Amino acid sequence: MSFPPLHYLSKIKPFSFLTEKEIEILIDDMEVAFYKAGKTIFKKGKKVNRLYFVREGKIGLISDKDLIEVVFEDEVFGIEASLNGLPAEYTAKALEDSVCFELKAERVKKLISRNERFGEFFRKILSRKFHSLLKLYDENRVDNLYADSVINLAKKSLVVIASHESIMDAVRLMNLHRVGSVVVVDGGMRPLGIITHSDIVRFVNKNISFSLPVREVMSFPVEVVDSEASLMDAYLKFVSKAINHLPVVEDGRVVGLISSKDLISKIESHSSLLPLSKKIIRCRDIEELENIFGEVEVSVINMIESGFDYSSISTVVTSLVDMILKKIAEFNRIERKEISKDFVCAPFGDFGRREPSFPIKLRFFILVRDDLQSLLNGFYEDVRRVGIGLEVNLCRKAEVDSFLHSSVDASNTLDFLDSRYLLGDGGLYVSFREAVNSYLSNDLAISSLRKLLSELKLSEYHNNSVENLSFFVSNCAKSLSILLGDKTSRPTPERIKLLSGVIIPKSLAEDLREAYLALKKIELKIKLAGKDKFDDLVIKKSSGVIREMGEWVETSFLK
Amino acid sequence: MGGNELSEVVQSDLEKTEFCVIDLETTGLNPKKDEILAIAIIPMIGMRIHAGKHYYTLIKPKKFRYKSIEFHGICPRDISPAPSFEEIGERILELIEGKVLIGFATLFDIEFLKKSFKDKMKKKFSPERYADIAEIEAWLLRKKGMAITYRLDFDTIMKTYGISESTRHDALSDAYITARIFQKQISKLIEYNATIFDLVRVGRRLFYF
Repeated sequence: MSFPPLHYLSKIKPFSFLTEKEIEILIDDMEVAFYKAGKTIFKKGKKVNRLYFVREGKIGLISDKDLIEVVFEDEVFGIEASLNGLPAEYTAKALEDSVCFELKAERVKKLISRNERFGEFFRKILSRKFHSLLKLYDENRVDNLYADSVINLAKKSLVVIASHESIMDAVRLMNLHRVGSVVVVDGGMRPLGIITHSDIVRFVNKNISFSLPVREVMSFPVEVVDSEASLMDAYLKFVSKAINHLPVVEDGRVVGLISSKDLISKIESHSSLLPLSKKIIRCRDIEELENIFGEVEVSVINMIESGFDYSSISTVVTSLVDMILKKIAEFNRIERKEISKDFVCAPFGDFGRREPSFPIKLRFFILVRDDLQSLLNGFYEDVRRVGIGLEVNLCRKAEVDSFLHSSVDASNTLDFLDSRYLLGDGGLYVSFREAVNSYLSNDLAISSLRKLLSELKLSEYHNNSVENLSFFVSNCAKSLSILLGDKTSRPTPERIKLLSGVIIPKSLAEDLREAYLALKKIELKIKLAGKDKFDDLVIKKSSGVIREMGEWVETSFLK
Repeated sequence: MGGNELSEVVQSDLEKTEFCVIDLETTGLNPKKDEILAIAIIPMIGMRIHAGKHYYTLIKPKKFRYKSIEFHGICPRDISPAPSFEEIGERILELIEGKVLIGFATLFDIEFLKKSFKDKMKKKFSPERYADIAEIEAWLLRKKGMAITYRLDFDTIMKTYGISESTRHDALSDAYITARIFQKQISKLIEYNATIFDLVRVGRRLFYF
């Protein structure tokens, strides 16, 4: 025997976090009210002592004639007012015939203090930690595992060798301690290089004498990770550098070693990205690369479902795609010595900023000294064949100024702010950036802010798509960074951090960063895995923050 | 906003009336021979269902008819710890007293209650004000110009109001669904300026099958 409202609520987050007994407590005082379309449920400025759950219909939240949010079936409203005991920030009105479950705020508060997860949900909403709110419902989350620091996994397997000792000594040590690598150190235990199992195989193959001192054959400089760093940091290094061993350092001294195997054994099935980077390095033709790219997408879905945050996901994806691009360049031999001085390839826009969205579509700016166009055609073709969308802006060195000049009004110029070097001649890239920077003026930043605000309908925030909202944030951050004089390409959350307290008020910046990360993750989910009701709630709450941002931009810069 | 302040005030006494939605499970269909097995009561004030204040209990009958299990799913084992009607009769009276009874085939339930109060508690039970959601629905349809000559069944009415609940069919779930249907019917009755007297008049039915 089950009471229908109880049965119903028990299936919907965050009520599903409650035990049956707790839901009984919750609905002990519950009322089910019917509101005819047009009926006011509560008014702005009034006290609200109930939390509302929409069982049927649509509720509009209205502030000063603006419809700021539409609450749909299975969603809650009145959270802030009822739980904080503050006057309502909006008027709630039924937009169509609606049925609401009305829960006494006192009961909800009681359960917030009693049930950890249920409590976390409301605390995160009230403190506007939307990004971490998303994680609450990733059932098989492993991100906690990754938060552990590397030192806990590292200590045992460290074997070191002095630089003057021979390869043979290194082999003996590896054999004795049954390890796959030895770290070459100086007298102060500072890491100089590393020799791994696969290096030894290479030495044998190349007939290198085992009596040579290790300093002559070791890999250096060696990638290291700080002992306080998280397993996630180590993981990202393994993936992005395609390596297997990382010495762990404390104040510059080696104190341990962590291997990708250690990490895999700890994290098991969730580490499908780790082998991917190695597969890319080893792959021999385009077909193989095509398959690997398909696997990248699957791995991203895994990461989403395992509770990874957006920053980690985008870092991993960017490194993998970079590797794929370099591999394609290698197949097409476009970095052959005689021509590598004659061009530069720079991704810009989202991918330039290391915030790729799916399906992956890259924009390249290619600067060439003279007629090299045909040389790159094979490269473009292969990129597309692998499954990566590509848009190319090709420009001759002598014409870079007129090119930039002609695209000053287009949003492109602002996108060039987020360019980065990928292939070709570094010197050419520097001259391109200098040209770009000279176009990134304060006037451009202000006019872009104005355009952004007009595109984002201030009065109808609920009508903006997730992409529109995150686009607004990333572009605002770009424009504001230019106003601050910072013309470096950076991921948006990093920009917001730098702007916080300098241009953007601290609390708004903090909320904005959370909202942005939440929206970006949901954007990925929508495209790859599908969203659920819970995401809608986060989108709405986040769009409230973006509305504040919009209003703040308007009053601070455009009036 | 604004301009509709008038619509915010109570327009009809239906919005303040205390109702109570009832539903029974019985051992059979004949009130003369059969007994009540379960009762659910859900109070309402106007269009507001006081869901938290619902009352539900199984009732141990004198005779259990195995044949009826297929209709209500209640087994002898379930009801062995249940109270008898005599033990809960007073409580039921308290809950119903002064309220307008609402149900589906309400008269059928009233006949059972009458018989139980008479036989088991030597009490007279005759609620003056009651309504049947099927009758209300027929009236609303006639208002729209449709000729209704047959009795509307529960599922059809549920569908009309777009109500879907995964839990059916026990007394408490059915009482709750009845309440949700009635909630919407009140809203429509108010549009026709109906009062509580109209409701009782249109919602009454003299025969129960």
